[in-house]
Amino acid sequence: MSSQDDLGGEELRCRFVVVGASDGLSSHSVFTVVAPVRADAVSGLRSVLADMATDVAGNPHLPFGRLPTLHFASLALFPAQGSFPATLVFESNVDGTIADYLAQVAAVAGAGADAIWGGCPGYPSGATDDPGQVQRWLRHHVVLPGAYHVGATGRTRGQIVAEAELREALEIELDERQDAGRLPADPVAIRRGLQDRVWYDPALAWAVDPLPVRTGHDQLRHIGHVAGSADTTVLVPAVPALALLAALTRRRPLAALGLVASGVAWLWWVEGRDPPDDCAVDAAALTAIERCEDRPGAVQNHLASLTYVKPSAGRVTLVRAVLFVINLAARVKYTKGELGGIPSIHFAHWSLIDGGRRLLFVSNYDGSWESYLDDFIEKAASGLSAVWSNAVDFPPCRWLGLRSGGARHGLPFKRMARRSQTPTTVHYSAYPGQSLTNVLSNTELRRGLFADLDDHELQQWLLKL
Amino acid sequence: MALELDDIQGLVLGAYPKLPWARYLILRIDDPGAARAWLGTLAGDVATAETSRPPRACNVAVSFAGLARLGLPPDALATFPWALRQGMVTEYRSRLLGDRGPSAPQHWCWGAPGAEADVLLASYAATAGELLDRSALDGCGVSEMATVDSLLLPYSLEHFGFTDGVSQPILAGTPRAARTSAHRWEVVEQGEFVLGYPDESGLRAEGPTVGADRSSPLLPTVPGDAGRRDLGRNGSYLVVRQLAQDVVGFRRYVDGNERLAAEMVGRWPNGAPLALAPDQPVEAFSSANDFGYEHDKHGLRCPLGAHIRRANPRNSTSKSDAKAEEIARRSANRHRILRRGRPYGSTDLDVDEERGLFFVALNADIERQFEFVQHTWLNNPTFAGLCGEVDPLTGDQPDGGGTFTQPELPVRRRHRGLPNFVTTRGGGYFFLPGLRALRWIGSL
Repeated sequence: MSSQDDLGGEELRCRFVVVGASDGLSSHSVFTVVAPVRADAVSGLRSVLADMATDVAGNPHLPFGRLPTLHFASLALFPAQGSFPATLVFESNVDGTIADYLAQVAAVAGAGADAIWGGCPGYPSGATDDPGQVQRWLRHHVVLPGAYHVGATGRTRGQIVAEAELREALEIELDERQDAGRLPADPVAIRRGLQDRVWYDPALAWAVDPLPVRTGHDQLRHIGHVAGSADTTVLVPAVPALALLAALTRRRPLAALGLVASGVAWLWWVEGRDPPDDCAVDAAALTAIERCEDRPGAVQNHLASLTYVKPSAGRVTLVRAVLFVINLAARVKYTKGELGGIPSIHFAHWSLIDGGRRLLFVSNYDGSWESYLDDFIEKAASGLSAVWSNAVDFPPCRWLGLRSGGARHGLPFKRMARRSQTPTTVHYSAYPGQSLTNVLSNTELRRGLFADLDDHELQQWLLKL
Repeated sequence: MALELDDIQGLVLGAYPKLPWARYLILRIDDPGAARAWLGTLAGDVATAETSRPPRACNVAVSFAGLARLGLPPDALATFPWALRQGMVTEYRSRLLGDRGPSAPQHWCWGAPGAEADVLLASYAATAGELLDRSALDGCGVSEMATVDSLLLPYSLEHFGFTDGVSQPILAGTPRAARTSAHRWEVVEQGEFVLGYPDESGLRAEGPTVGADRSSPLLPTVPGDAGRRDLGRNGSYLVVRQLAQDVVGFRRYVDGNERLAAEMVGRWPNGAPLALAPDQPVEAFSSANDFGYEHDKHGLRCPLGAHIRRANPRNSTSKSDAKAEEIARRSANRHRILRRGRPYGSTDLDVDEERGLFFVALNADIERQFEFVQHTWLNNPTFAGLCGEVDPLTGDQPDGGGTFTQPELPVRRRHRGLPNFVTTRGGGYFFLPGLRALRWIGSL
């Protein structure tokens, strides 16, 4: 297992790979570690989490700042709910594989892992001495999302951080030249001055190498890889079911039609029975959530939500199918930053847990909760309603809310979202000052710095500053 | 839907431009019984939207603390929105609104935590002598916490020297909306500002309610809920902020550079928007509001971070297609506010007194409208792809000074070391009831 020394070497290697020679095709692992917490351990865990929140990057339990491949991480403790015990959700969005990352987590946390997960049934007691044991336990509790979105696709954490530093250096260089009155009027000469700034600075010289362009083949390889990193349980019943339906359509078209019609009738019937159970949000719970939002110095926020799937096998199948479709769209269509028109999501994932009885959603987004939810309501109400209309408490709608109702009922939807949330006590971001738009624009800035540009392209590039 | 003008307070439909004097009385309720009786009689004097040009006018709004003190039943109090119930001065809301440092609520002259206002009484008149005198409140169960007097400045100027209030949403279904039907930007659905009417998403704007058993037949019924009466109908939520302006500091910073000042605002002093008049203050555009930013993606005419572009981004979007612009516009119209503020303090800079804007805004959803504008647009450091800069005029600048980017060809210029030009000195969230609701409160 990794000793501290190995880890230092790993950090260096990562820095080289991601900055110096990034192939621009980095693949992320997006997942949660979900574990129940014993009732007697809940209050102790709460104070550990509160303690960690005072210094997320450097806290003694799990100093997130020392995990070199980590983009965003969160720890949120959901209280006991009905027959479910309290549940600790540890979310990570990282470069590379889950196994490598969890090995680093176990090594960096050391005894801290006991403080965090010691109250979870089955956690190996006294695991401190053997990070391998902790890592195995964490791996055993990994939940792959049914659908996930990555905003800054193909970028490693190191690349994102380094490109932000590059922009800062270029902006300052430009300011200094303007202040000193020695900024040339010629766009070519302006860029040359900025190129010089980078060329002679060993800390920035990596930016001289061109960023590889992604080819169609790479894209396919990428889709192939990421498809394997989501929960594909839905395919197990769906593939034979569809095959059966296809066969039936050939032999007994009427029977097949009847089957489909009864599915539609079922949806009509169950949606009609959904009770409108909108109610006020508990004031104390809301205050606790708000305390964790809009923290000074960060432009990003986090949302952790857990809902009950409406109790029927049909609903569970339906939500799996919807997640499968969303995941496919996220892999194929929404690869340039936006998810369904929303340009502010760094990483978001939906996971079915507890055998499909509960739906977990975690998201790392820019701006306030209010603006995030309004983006949902104004731009992506169909997709969201298709998922959450299968969850208890959602505003009533017909046909999965694809065309009307559901999330379009702004206030009831916001109340439902708040009721499903728990405070994200610990939230780590490797680049807290950067919005997704900033991240994407920083890459464009880097791409054009040494590229061959005609006059028009050069002027467009200068406007990115 | 036709607005029930006789039940709506006049401030909702107009700012009384013919009444240049205003007095804002910020009151505490000492004797709930007497205060209820007073409010009940006041309902007879309150100006409604039915009279378009009253010779003098009085409007009244009550904070959540005030409503509780007046003895509203708990089931009714619970139906008020979270922002109103919490008030403006919680730690979270201060973060959202940028009220920190010298703007932090503990320094406020009214509305500080533990000293929240109960009632806001606004009086408007043609002459100072006709304003409501505080002696008229004797025996009404209320005492004065603060009073701010205001006289409109010529040409609708505010203290920095710019025409204010050019861009105002117009309520759909009003005569003004009919006259301006060609204008794309200004007409906004009634429910964005008046509770009980359909809003931009086609839903009825949700207001507070009260159990039918507790209320008199004075109040209308709640559609679809026979057990509740509508307390919110024809009401609105009022956001009040006393914003001190550092005119000397602003002039010192722009140092005679009129172009820089105009780019920080997004309009020339006469009101002409840079989006239409990028080179000079064309008089013909001085009240122009029918424009978008479709030809100004990079902010070369009107900077992306200019005050008016942040406060209402219209159809600004990074994409250049008509569909994206329409989505952006529809989205922006769900976050509008009606501004009813007025300047206070002397324009003579030799007079050593506080001057600024007594900001008053109306909206149906404080979180989705006023707070969204303040947090997601004005104070957002990454607004429209910018990084690390907030509103140059009203923003909560970082310690050490803020930045303002002036996009230019061939390359932008960054103005650094921006101080705070605006300091919050007081504020609160209030419920502006309809006349029937006011009478009902008085009858409790």
